[in-house]
Amino acid sequence: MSVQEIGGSGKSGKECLQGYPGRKRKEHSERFQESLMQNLEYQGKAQDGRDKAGSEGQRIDTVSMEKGRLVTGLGIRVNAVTRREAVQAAEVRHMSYEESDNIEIAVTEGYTLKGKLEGSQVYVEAKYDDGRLEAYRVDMERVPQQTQHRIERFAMETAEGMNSSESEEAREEND
Amino acid sequence: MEQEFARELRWNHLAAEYQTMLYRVAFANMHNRADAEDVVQEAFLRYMKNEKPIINKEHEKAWLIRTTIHICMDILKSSWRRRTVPLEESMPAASREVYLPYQIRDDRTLEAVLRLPVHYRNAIYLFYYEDYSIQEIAGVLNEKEGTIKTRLRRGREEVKKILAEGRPENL
Repeated sequence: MSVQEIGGSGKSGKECLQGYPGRKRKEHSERFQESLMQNLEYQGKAQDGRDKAGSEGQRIDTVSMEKGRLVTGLGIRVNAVTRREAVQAAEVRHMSYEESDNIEIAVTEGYTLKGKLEGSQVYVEAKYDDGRLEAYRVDMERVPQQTQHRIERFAMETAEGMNSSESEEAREEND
Repeated sequence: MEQEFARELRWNHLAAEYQTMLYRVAFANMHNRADAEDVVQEAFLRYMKNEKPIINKEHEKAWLIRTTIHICMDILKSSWRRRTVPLEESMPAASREVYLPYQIRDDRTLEAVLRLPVHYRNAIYLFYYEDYSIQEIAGVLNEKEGTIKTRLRRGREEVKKILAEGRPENL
């Protein structure tokens, strides 16, 4: 699922965050191709495993995580249906700088980001200089550690910043 | 006596609510603390003398920001100031005097924003550093939203140039 624009002018975003608006169609076809290739690959592996295990009289019923995707022992990739992206579109609630846990001001890129840690998720609001306002909800449990995705990275910084300040406070209390 | 008390209450409300924010807006234009403080005082005085009705809080805030910017422009345009105050002298580390209520990671960019020509500077400053929407900025500066978008876009290009060159342009 790609991130959707919330409100705004709907202008395609050559100046917006990479990996977001304006990529929906391209992303869809890329994902489909990627998904197809992975299915073929996993089915091939699973077939090998089935042949081997079958010969040993074992039942194949394993579930493993590969590259962050849920893969059954039968080689059926279920992410297309059940796996959710870390970044989901959310309703814009016009959070102020004062309410935010983290702020990124990118004048030369033409946007600002505001983030707030809420449980295991980070609410992110993006404002662009063409007038668009978008909001995302980032599930921190699904964000890969090495992500290059700008929204995911920002959400990670927000969560890490809040967690470290909380642990500092706890340490101070203990001292 | 009652009038005086009401006046004092009003003054306290203004100071508590807007002083810091208006100071930042004034500083973004004046580039030095003393002038910025004078501008804010003057804006408050004009507000107290203002006889036109203020509809709501948004209107009040917009009125004060607009007045603050106008006072800054009037001072900067005066021939006396142009002769006597070289702007560059107060520019180094000016961004540290802005006292934003949050931490910024990049002083250089704010420094570059403060060096922008005035019509870009106020739009960019209010949009990025005070978190105003384009619609709100258009209201404050009495301009069309399209004009503000253009200023934001062009101002951004100017910031890039300033950062690339490391020196001010069109002060």
